[in-house]
Amino acid sequence: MTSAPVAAAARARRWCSFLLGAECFAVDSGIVVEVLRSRRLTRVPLAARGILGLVHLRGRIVPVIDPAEPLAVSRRTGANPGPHLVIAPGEDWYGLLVDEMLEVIEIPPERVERPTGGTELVLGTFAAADRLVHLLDPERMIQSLVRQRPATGTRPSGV
Amino acid sequence: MGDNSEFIGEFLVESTENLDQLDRDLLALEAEPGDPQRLASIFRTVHTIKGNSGFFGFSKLGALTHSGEHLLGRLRDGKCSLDDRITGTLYSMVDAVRSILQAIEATGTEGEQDFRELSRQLAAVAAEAATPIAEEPVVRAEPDRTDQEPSAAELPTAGPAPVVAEAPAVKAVVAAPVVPPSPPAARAAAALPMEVGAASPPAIPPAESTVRVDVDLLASILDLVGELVLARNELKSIETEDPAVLAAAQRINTVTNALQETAVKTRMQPVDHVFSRFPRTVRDLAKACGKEVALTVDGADTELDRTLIESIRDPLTHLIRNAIDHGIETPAARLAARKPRAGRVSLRAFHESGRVTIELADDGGGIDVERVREQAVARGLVAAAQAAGLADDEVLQFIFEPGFSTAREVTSVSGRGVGMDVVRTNIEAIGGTVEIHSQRGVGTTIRVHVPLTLAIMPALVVHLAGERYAIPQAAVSELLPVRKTGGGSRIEGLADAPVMRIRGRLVPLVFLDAFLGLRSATACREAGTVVLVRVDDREYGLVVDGSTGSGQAGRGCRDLLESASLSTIVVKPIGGVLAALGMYSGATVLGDGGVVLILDLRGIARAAELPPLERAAEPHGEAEVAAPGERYLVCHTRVGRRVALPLADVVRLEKYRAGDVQRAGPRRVIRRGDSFTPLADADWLLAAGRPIPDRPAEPESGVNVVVVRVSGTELGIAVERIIDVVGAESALQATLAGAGVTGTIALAGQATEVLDLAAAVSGV
Repeated sequence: MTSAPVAAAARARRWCSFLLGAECFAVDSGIVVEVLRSRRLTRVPLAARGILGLVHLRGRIVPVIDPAEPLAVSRRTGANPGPHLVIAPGEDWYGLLVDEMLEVIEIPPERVERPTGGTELVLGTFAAADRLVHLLDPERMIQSLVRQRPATGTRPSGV
Repeated sequence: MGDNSEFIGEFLVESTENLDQLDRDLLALEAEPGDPQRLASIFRTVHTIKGNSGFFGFSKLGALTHSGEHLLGRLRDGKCSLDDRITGTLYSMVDAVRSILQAIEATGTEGEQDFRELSRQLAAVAAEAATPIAEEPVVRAEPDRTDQEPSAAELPTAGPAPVVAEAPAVKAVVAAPVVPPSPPAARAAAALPMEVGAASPPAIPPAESTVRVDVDLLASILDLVGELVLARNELKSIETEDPAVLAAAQRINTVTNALQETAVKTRMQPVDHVFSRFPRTVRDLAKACGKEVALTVDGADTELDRTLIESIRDPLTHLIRNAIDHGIETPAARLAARKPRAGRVSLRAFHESGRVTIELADDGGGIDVERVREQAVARGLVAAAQAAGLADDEVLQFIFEPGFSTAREVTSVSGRGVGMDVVRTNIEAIGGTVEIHSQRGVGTTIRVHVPLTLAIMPALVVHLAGERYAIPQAAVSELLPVRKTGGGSRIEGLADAPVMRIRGRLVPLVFLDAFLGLRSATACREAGTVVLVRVDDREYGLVVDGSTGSGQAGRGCRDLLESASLSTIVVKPIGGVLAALGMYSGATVLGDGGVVLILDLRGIARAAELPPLERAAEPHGEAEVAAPGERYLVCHTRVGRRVALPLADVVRLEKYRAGDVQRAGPRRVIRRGDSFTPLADADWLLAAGRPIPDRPAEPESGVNVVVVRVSGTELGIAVERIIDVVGAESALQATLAGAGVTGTIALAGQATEVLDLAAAVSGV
């Protein structure tokens, strides 16, 4: 991992944190559009596995993606689906299906540690009082979804 | 200067519009020299540009327009009269002004070009024509002029003049949108020049009752209205009996509907935005070609989505160029053909069945259809025998083939030009179509049909596996129920190439649920609805869920309507990630707030590997009706040979994974429940025991098997792909029989070997 993403992480101060399974992740609060209560999704056949479906928000069609898929974490099971954290990393908006929203935390850049794990989707890690917070690179995460093979791509023949 | 840039931007936009008006006015003036209204209008426009250029310090523009103004002043005052030379010089001035404005827009400066020569020319023309002549129209113009135009030119400074000129527009804003300032208004304004001047210090463009609004702002208003519609729908779903709440909800409902309708209208613009340039284009082209052409324009106020307006500009310009360059004959040739000396080109726009049609007709020489026919054959686009049977309008379609039009032989003779394929491509890119009719010696008519808008369109909303999907209605030709048995619309192929017979045509089908991977066993097969669509040159049926009441006897129109409903949808982009799939062209939000994907019919046809409709396919369809017994299933074998099996012998089509095929001694069998069906390979049957060269390995995905029954024995025949079910066009020619085949037959225009099933079965 080069130091560039760490430097990018260093610029941002406030991070919006959330739970995914047992792990805590955060995205730059500057790109957060809105937190939506779970809604009915319109599924998109043939789309990549991590794309759960579409919702409508303020005139836009927003794909909701499952961050647990590219991050390879196991999601909380059994409970009601969590809220959608809608972010705007670029022109397009995306919803992240999270298990639970946590607080917005202020993170001094010097306390962000280089990622230890293998995933390139995490910019760095911050050791909060009670847990580790992984700072996400949402654009990379979305890119990794695009590259994925579609979930239902193996089309059954007409038999 | 920083502050100025905003004003310069406004100045540029306004001046460009004024120049378009100037073109129109000059054309009108040419037709009716000395028309005081036009002269005054031209004078005003040039004067305004001159005034503004002085304000911004654009000296070249100032000098040029000054010379132009001087000449126009003389014209207006009757000191000289309009002739070809003056008009030509004035056009040159308009072009020069336009190029300076473009330079300013691009670089912020007036550019390097030198226009002093043109200024001198303008002055020279004005001086030369100075001989006091009193041509009739000009003399008549005099009293009008003094009445209505208090001689802006005679005022010592440029300052107050624009105010006077603008005065009619100020009135027009209040009264009604008036395009040419009406004399009464002008007169009223003239009476109180000072008052009006004081009341309207900023220059309002003449005859405009509009304001400029950022396009993005309009888009966000539309989005907000969309949100409001959803909120309204939520409100409607709340159950209450409180009459006050109900009344308020009703009002909100009404207002929201009206608001939505109005907001949608902000996207529309009259086609005049494109048409207004054409008179000048026609004039210049006609002059350049040494022809005389009169252009008539109708329906310029027909409205179209502004994003589409830009897209039709280039294709239409191209068509007009063709009409004048190749269509209209020279005056001499026209006279010889007993036609009026001047050619006629008419441009019409009108609404037609939910779309906008733009028709360009000329009374020129028309297209030499026979020559096109020859060329089409020469270029291998169509077989000679087939070409002879095509109707003229069908032959003309070849003009749109890529490369066809660029052929010099065709262009010089038939006279339809370069790049008609580009015209068609551009029009089709916006969901439109082009048709052409031509009669030798009489003229050519081209009709371009475009949708009103791309953002809002009528769509068919269909149900499938618990979700809804939208299909653009423009592509839908028919809805048909799937019938299990009996005539009408029965599904015929079974596995890889399901087809449906619709009035003698075989239409390939796409089972949307299986295609999208929603269900493995398609439930639509027995109780679905076929949505017949046509895109480009492909026609196919999308099989979707029938109505909820499906399965009951007597499905009729009502059920069909329940299974699919028409609504007007607002197309929204779905973003790069999903657009890259190529299956959806966007999404929309329905009235109940649900998000629905819009199917990309081209993408689906491509992904499903549907064959394009061959032009030749239609006659075959009719042949089948005549002899329904002689139908064949056409397949490709694994080494790529094309073979046919009599459909009457085919029991079913199946697909087996390699694991389902078992060996029973030397033979291979397929297991189906408790019974076994012997399996033969088509290539083996054709090779009759000889080794088969270059045979690809069996695919992982499974083997297509055609199960036949001949004299009571079933046999599975493995093939690579099932192509189609077609009717025979010729008798079976046994003389060409070879190993494993009974003969050769013409199917869909190709000689095809027919497998000898009797021999195959006896060999088992």
